[in-house]
This record gives sequence, C-alpha cells and structure tokens, in this order.
Amino acid sequence: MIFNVAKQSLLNRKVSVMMTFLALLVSVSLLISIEHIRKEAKNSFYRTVSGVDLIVGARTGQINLLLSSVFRVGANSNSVSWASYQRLIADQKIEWAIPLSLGDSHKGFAVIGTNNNYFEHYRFGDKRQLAFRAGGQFGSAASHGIESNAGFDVVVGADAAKQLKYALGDEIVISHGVGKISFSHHDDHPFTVVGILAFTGTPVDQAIHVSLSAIESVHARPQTSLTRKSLNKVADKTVTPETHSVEGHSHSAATHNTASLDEHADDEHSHEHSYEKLEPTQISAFMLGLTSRVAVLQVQRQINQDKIEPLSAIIPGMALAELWRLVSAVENVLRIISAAVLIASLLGLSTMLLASLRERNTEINVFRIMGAKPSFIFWLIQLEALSIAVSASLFAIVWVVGAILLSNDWLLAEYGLSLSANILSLHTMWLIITVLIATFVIALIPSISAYRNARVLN
Amino acid sequence: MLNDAILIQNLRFAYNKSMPIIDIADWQVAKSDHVFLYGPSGCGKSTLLSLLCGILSPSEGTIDILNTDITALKASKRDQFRAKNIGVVFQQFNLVPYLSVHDNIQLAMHFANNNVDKEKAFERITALLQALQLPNETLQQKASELSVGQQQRVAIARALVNQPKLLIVDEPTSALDASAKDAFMKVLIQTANQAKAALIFVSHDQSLASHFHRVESLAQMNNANPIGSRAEVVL
Repeated sequence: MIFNVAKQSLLNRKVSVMMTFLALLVSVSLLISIEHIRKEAKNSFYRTVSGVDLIVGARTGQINLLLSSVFRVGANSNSVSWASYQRLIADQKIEWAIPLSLGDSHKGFAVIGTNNNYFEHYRFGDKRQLAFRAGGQFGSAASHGIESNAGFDVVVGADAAKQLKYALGDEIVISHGVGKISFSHHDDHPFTVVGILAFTGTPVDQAIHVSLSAIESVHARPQTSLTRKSLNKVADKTVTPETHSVEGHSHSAATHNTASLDEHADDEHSHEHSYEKLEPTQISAFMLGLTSRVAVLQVQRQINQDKIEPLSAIIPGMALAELWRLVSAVENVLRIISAAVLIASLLGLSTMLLASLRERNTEINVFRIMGAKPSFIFWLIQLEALSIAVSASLFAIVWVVGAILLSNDWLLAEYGLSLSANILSLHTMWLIITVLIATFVIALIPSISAYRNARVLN
Repeated sequence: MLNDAILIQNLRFAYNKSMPIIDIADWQVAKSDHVFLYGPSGCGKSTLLSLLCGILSPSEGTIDILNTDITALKASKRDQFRAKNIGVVFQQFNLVPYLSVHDNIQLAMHFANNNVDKEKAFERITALLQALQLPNETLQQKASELSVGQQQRVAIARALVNQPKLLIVDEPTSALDASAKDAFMKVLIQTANQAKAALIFVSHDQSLASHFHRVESLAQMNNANPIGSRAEVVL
C-alpha cells in the first residue's frame, strides 16, 4: 500500500521529481565514472611494466630510477658502465636482460637505446608482449621490404608514430638531449623506421627505440664516431667521403641514401656485424628477468652491494606502489570533488522534499485522520527519496556502461586508452549503498519534519 | 454508561497553562445519536475534535469513546483505535488528491488493519458509493478530479468504510451550494442511520440544525471558551 501511495505521490509531482532525479543521475554517474576511471588508471599504472623482476641503474632512489627507466621522466645523470652490465648479467640466475640508454629525444619523444631483447622480453598489462602493428624489430628491415642503413633501425611507439605521422621506411634524424628543440642535431645519421608498435597504453607508445650502438654513435664526436670506426672495420663501403669530414656535415640525405642503398645491396651481413661489435661504453639502466622469482631479493641485494660500481636494483611493483602513493593525492581530490557533487544534489533532493511538505500538509492530515501512524508519514517521505536515489543509481550504471561501450573504440584509437565496461564490481555496489545511506540520512530532515507535523493536526 | 458513544469528564486542554482552550465538565453522546454541535470559529472546535479523534492528548480528564478511555492509550494504539472506530470528515481536504477514489477508500481500510479480501472490499466500496449516489466510474478517478460535492461524499464513504460507530463531521458543507448542501445532508444522515453510527456534526451554519434532534452550543459547553461571551452576543 505504502509503495502505491509513494508511487502515485511521485507521479503527481513529475517535474520537480524529474529535475531531482536528473541532478542525482548526473552526480551518481560522475561518482561512478570517477571511481571507475580512478581504478582503471591505477590498474593501468600498475600494468605499465610487468614481468620484469628488477630494474638496475646507477645508485639513486627507487622512484627516480622507475621514473627514468619506465616512465621516461627525468634522467639519471649517472650511468652504468657496460663492463658492469656484462659482468652482472653473466649470473646464472639471470634469464634475460634489457639494456636501456636514455636521455635523447626526437621531436619531443624520448629516444631509447636498447636491443631486440626489449621487444622479446618487455611485458606490460597482464604480462602482454609488445606487438608490432607494422614492420618488426631491429635488423628485420629486409624481411619487410624496407631499405635501411642497418644499425640505424628505428622502432616507433604507436603514439609517436601517429603524432609524427611516421610510416615504415621513413627516414628520421635523432638529436642529442631531451628537449623538443635541440641544438646538436646529428644530421649525419639518418635512421630508418623499421617497425611500429601496437598501442599499449603505457609510455612505450611515446618512445622511439633505436639500437644501443646507434645511440653510441649519435653521442660520439664525428671524428671518433662510428663512421671512422666503421671505416676501419668495414671495407670503406659504408660511408661516402663527405661524411667523415667535420665540415661536411651538411651532406644531403639523398647522397646518404644512395650510399646505404649500395652498401645494403653489397654487404648487408658484414655491415650488421660491424654494429654488433660497436659496443657502448655505458648505459643508463637495464631490466632483468630472473630464472626464478625466488631469487629476486637475493639478486637485488647482490647488485645493491656491488663493490665495483655503486648500483641500485629496484623491484618494479614496489617502486610503482611507492610512486602511486605520491599520485594518490590527486586521486583523493577527485574523490572529494565527486563526493561534494553528490552531497550537493542530495541536499537538492532534501530541499525538494522539504519544499513539497508545505503543500502536502493537508495530505498528511488526511493520512492522520484516516488513522495513519506518524511513522507512516516518515516512511512515505523516505520511500520517495530512496526510490528517486535507487532509480538514479540504476540509470547511472546503465548510462556509464553505455558511455564506456560507445566511446571505447574512439578512446583506444585516439588515446590508446582501454576502459573496462565492467563497472559492476563489489566496489561499485558499495558506492551505490553509500549513496543510498547518504540519501536516507539527508532525507531524515524532511521526513522527521513531516513526522513532527503529523503528530498534531493543523 | 455502556450505551455512550462519547463520554467526556473533567476535560481540560491547554497549550499554555494560563490560557486553557477546552474545559468541559461533563458531556455524553449516546450510541446512534445524532448531535448538531454549533460552534463558531475560535471557540475551540478544532481542538475538541482533535481530542475526540485522539490526535491531541488532554491536559486533564478522560475521554471515553465507545467505552474505551482513549486518553489511557498509547499514541500508536490511539491511531489504531481511530482508524477502526472513528470516521472523520472535515470541511475540505479529506482525500489524498493524487490517489484514485478507490485507493483512498482502500487506504482507510489498510490503516484500520481491515483484512477484508479484495472482492469483499470492492463490494463494500461500491455499495457505499451507491448509497452516496456516486456513479461507479468515480472509483478510478483521482480525488482531485472530482467536484467538491463529490469529494465530500467520497469522504463520507471513506469515513464509513471501516463501519465505525462514531462519525465526526466538521463543516462538511461549507464549500457546497444550497441545493448540494441539502442533498449532502440527506445522504449523510441516511448512511449514518444505516451504519448505526453516532454522528457529531459540527457547524456554524444554524440552518442545518433542522436535520438534528439534539442541538448543542460548544460555546456554552466549553467553560474555557476564550470568546464565549462574544459568541453569545452574536447569538
């Protein structure tokens, strides 16, 4: 009976009920989506790197090392000597290692010097491997029908490729430094795009990957650079004469292209071989995969206490958790804002009910003379408030799921962002229950006032 | 004694001790009796009716309704007692405007814990509407869609549906025109007779007194009447 009365009563005040419903719908949707995005952001944050047991760099804090090696934010000014790297990865407990040389940029995108281990062993999300949208890893140019100056192969992250409009076979120039504008362009070493990675939703999307030896040659002075060395090592086919002269830096890409064309045709194997031999003297950091996860702490301690070079080894999961604690202040601000929006609209609901009480005074008297207890009036008002809140919550869930489903393709294509449409978690349930409890508490104001009025006929 | 519908003894009521509003030493209404209680506004009429319904509790004295001392009952029991035994019709606003006539009457049965099955309830409601000369179509109409005269008749149906032995009616005709007033009075008295209910009819309109054997003035009855002397002058 009381349900029928509440229903008819709400239908009788359609307009104000509708407005209140919409206000609540918006705020509950906001609350649900903020919580959902927050959770997804946290997830994707934790999924930035996975399957890596340790990250090693020169001695520094774990957040610094994580930021520079995984997020490519800031740079560790110290580096790890190549000798130490070789020495450490010789350990039997180490299954694989990814060397990383950081600190360079190309048109604002981070340039990472590494080797093919990167594409084979780097994992993100639920241990997902990096996939190629086009082309392949370093040295795979020929199999994709691209001509490249071998050793100067580039694999471009999805986002970088999209924004810079790079396609397979494009030639690019890498500069030294991390700024968007760099004063030391190295026009003498054109790189060729041999691979474009698929979207990962991690900083990998914004990275440009080149081989370690290429990075080394970019950094090296022209006189002592790769060109000279290659001259010595490879029977002077590699480079056109202009290239080694210091003043001859302005040689055109066309000339170089012809040169690389020649060498490509002539002696691909020996060329590649020469770059393999060109060993870097130092790297910024490296990632390790161990044969057994049990050994992680042992290897970590071993590296941290290395007597030859001061190094830091961090466990990515722990470092991510520490970094997230810093970021979570923003998370809390978001939560506070959505809670404030919810409270504002609940107060609106309470105001609407309170305002309607004046005109409902006679109605309440009618209930009383019919023999209704004051508690009937109390529960009638509560029921009206709660049914508005329940329906707003249900519609909010439908609305948010619908919005996610509709925008998912677009988000993935534009931002590489993949939101799960499954918002019906236990967490959301608690959120809705909290909303309903808050509704009950705030609706106590009009319902108690109606209850009081009901006790005396006016 | 046992035949009293209402028995009031030493009844006093005051919101503020120095200003009593009701002070009635002794007043009785026999079962099935019809009483016209004349009361201009301001003589404590609404207060007395609220006391009789058990919505207000007296400061002193007792009120026996159908041999039950309602002043001794707890608030929730009084609500229950009112729902079951007292039918009340006010000047206006006797129905929940957004509910249908049927739902209004059924709600009254619900509050009285009247566990009549649906068919019987429907029969009783239609019989009442017939007696009150209301067409059956009104049953599904919203109360707010009816004319004032129809609303007042539905109010009587609602007041009588639980077959109360006491019917309290307060100025039910003030919003009606002369011919509707007359028709309403006839229907009211007839249905009250059929239900064998005591009827307390409160009005300031003395022309309606002709429908009653017993006519009393609240102003004279109520010793605390703040405007009592003035009311007599007007008389």
